[in-house]
Amino acid sequence: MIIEKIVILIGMLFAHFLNGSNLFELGGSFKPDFMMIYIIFFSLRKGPLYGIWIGFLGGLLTDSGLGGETAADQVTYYKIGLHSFTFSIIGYLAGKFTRNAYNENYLSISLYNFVFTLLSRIILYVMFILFFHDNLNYSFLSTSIYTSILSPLFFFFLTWVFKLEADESKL
Amino acid sequence: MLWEKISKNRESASLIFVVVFSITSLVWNGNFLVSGIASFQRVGDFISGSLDSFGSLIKSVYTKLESFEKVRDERDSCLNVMEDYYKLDQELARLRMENESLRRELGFPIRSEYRTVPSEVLSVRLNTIYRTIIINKGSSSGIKPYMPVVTRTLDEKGNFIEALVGKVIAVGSSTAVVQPIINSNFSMGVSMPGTSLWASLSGNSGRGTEAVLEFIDSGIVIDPKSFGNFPMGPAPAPGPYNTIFTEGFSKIGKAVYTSGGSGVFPKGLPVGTITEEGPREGSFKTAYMKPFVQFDKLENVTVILKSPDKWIEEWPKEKSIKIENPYLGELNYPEEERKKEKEKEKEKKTSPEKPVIEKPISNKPQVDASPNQPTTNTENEVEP
Repeated sequence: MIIEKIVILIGMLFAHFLNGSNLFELGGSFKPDFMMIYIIFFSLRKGPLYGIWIGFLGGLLTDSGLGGETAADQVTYYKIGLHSFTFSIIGYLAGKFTRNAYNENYLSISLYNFVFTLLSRIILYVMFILFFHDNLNYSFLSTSIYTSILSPLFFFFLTWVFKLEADESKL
Repeated sequence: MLWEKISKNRESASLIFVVVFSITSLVWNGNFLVSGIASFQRVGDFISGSLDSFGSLIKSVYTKLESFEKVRDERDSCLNVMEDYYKLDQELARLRMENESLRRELGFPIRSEYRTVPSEVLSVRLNTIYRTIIINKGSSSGIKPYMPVVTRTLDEKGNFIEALVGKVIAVGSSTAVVQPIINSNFSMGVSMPGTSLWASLSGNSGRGTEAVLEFIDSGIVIDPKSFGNFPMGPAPAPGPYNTIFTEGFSKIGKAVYTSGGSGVFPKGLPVGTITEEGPREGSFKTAYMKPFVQFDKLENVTVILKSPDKWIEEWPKEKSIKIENPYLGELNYPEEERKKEKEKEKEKKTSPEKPVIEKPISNKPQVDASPNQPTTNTENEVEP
């Protein structure tokens, strides 16, 4: 039980490192969101509780990657809480409301990943405007589409790594 | 008891915890717990950088194998044309160009004025909501917040330049966070090409890797093919010759440099080239600008060790003016009320004289000085 959770945490770290690298970049900041795939995978397979906590911890990792900003008063301000809030909400929603309707195939994996990635980016955008400032540079559709295209591949990879059957979601 | 309730409603309790924690961290974003979580960034960026270097190793092996094949083909073709000496001319031209660019490079003003720290890029986060670049040098190398960051790249004519990347916004001991010029919160002053006027550069352009120049004087012609249709924005001019200005007025494709007015960046650093005229903002024009730096291919940067100029001018003590009895009340304090209050204060000052009445009675009748007080009864009775 504990080993399973440790392995999940290691996988989460790996997703975070992949997000930070430029290995899958197609140019012009066109990159997939691996953390989102990871959260949706465990939300659909393990339920809303896993979705909340993996979303929360994955979000904290992503927030830590944004770095701080030293203001004129020489105090460094961070953006911790932005992704942790959004990802845990998305993890909860995916696990709670869509888990029963989920059937594992290429189309459904892509569709679910597209919808939830788009939703997460919309929530993030609104949160960023509420707590910080306006941001016109944030991409919604391109990242969501790229993530949804790559998601079936990573779903099958994660299924193989974590030895989770697709039917487990219905148990 | 409480633990039982929490374990029964684990989902709700977890959701409440994560939401409360996240919102608290966002509102109170400088606390020690938040700083502790944020320190994980260094580890994350180091490992991400390692992943990148592993990927680039595979890519470089493949590129080298491919280049070997190309070299072989070139060698064969060179053997065939070796008897022709035209290559000597090409070589001479190449050397001339190289010589010219090196001469220009020696004339860089920034290198001679400020010390610099070369640094490697650990991570370029352009896909996140807050675009940042992480570099592998920090305060131990003398880097401080608000120091400008440049990199070597090519300008629009193919010459080597040191173009602006952004500025340092946070510093650790061995890493620093750089805010690129395409960050939504970035702004600085730039000089408009061919004029003595300035514009404001903002990273919040709404375009992937472009910045926007705002508050451009409406008298500056940016694109001669677009006719300023105040206040609705640029529109094509009517008629067969859809321009009233010659191409010489155009700012499209021209380089933009730092103005040096903000005190953060040195004057004259190349920033980018103007690509397109944007929509009008009130009585000002806007334009989109493509940076010289290709952020997604950034590997090395140079931090210029230049602290910001003195931002706040202090008023000299010898010129300070001392006002005796300054009025420190509200500025819009009504004059009449002030007069009334002064009168009341006067009355209060005079009122301590009243107890004189209560002194031991003398032979003469007591007469009060105040006009409101009636005269003594004895006098009134005598008059009729």
